[in-house]
Amino acid sequence: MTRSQLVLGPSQLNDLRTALAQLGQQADVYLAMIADFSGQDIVSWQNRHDLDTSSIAALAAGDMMATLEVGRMLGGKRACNLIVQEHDELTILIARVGEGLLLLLGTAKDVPLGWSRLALKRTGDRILAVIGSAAPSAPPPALSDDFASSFAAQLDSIW
Amino acid sequence: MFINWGLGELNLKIVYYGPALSGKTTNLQYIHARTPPHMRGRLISLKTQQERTLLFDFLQLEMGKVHNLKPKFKLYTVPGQVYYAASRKLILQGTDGVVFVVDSQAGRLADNQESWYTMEQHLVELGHDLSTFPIIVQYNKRDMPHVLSVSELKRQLAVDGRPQFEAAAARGAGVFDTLKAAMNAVIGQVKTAIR
Repeated sequence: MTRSQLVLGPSQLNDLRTALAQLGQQADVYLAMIADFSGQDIVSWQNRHDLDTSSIAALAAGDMMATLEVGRMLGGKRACNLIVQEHDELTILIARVGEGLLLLLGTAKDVPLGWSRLALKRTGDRILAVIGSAAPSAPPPALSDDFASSFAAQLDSIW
Repeated sequence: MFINWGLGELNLKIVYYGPALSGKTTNLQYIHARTPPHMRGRLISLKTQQERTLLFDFLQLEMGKVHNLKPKFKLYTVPGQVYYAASRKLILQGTDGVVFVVDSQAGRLADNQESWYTMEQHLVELGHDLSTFPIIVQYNKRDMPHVLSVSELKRQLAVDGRPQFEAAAARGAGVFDTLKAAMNAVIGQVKTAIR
């Protein structure tokens, strides 16, 4: 089954957050974010606090998927591993990590592309090491039998 | 699906699928307009110059805590036009449930059937079991002239056994009934899926 299903515990999330924070502190980085191919934002580090990471994750996944498809239609034999966007003020790199994850890095324009690519590679390896240890875990007690009925009641109270 | 036990978040994805101009984007626009601002994000639309969906629409809803868990739903639409087939399959990747939006107008039956068939094909290719995968059917545009009866649409699309709702999304009728059914169906699947 190819269904996207990622379950991360607190220590794994902390490891990922630390990896992104270290990346963010080495250069003029605006945003470092891990998302998956289905558009879920998993964890991020940013030097601002007003970025809509949910929407950015959805768009980054769409960008990568569209680019992969363009490559395939042009006869590309290898999967696309990196998208680079060079804007007037910043550079954005979206890298594929493993089979189903993305690592997005937004930096100031003067951060060398070579540094960013190397940083993505190293951070990607760290991410895979953490995610590789993420085994599916049993649902916590909060996901009890009456969770679904409580959720349905909550929806009725909203709409 | 992405489950973040650290923050107690269930991140779930629902895709609105259906033929061109069946009202998928209209559903999301109505949901966005009628949901309290603290529970929704921005409605992102990637459109052509003719206001048609190019890649997808996206809207995140945060439903508040239930038993110390925070369900978050990411709603997507697919582009309905025939030549965007590749995009539709890509957007279905990782989805936890589908709302199939039927255009009830008599002249659109073949488009509905084609869209339903390709959706099933994509879901199977993505590894889903159609007998258990949550698919909610919305018969939209019930307020338009020359619509087929719901019983005729059911027969033609062979959707028996799926939750089904009549709607006129432009006026909001049936939009939230459909959404709530989709969310409840997806939540119902969560426990099974993570075991």
